[in-house]
Amino acid sequence: MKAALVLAAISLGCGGARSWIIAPRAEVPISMSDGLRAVDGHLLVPQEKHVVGEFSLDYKPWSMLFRLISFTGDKDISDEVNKQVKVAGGDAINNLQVFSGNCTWNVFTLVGVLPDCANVSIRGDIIKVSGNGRRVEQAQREVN
Amino acid sequence: MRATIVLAGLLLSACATIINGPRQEVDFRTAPAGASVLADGKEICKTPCTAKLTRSDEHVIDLQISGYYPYHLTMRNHGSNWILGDIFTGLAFMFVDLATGSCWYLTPEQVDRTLEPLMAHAPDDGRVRVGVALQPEIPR
Repeated sequence: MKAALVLAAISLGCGGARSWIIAPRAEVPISMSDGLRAVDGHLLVPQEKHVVGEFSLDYKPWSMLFRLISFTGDKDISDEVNKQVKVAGGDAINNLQVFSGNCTWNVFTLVGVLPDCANVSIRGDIIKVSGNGRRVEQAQREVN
Repeated sequence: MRATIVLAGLLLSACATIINGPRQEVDFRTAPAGASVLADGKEICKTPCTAKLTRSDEHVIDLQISGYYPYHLTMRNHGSNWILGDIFTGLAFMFVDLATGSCWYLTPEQVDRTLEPLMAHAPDDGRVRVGVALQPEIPR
């Protein structure tokens, strides 16, 4: 009994979730920095990049057994990227950021062997390119 | 002791509805001021302004003013921790919070944006270029 309590005690907070964000079918460049390249490889200057919207996507990955088993696995954001960039009239996404935090369910999972979740928020700037930079390097995809 | 627990349960019943209410105030500010704020395709105010948006839905926001690039974002709704108070009432009042939408909160809670002007600029090659933005079609 004492061993079980000790195990439960040291397992507290070992829950959470694990997943991977991918965008293999994104039709626009995605960057986690504020850099964006034209076809000829030159970095676009700020005057050629205009923020016309915010990319946002929230999801809740689930895992169990101390995150060893991921139920969510890969999170493909390609469709959301294509849709949101199109609606905003943009050409690319810059400054993509990923945030993760606790979800309410965490309070019910005292030990990591139970299924657990996390709240993941993805945010980025939707960029419209003007001038020479209109020819954006399509191959630039930097989602990790 | 039992009476205290019952009283606490009653006080916390549907607490998300009592504390939050079904709508959330969102502040909109832009530079320059005077931009139209469109929520789900309908103009609701001009910046700077505060609007009340339903918590139960996500909202597509567009900021528009002549001579500047428009700005587009989606307000996401997330679960409010106030709904945990419904546990004390055996979850009975959770349905009230869910029905009123009070168990959600919208992010971002305020929108403060500097809009980028549509303007000509002269890069290093000396040629002047004029940027023109087409206003995207707003889904209705």
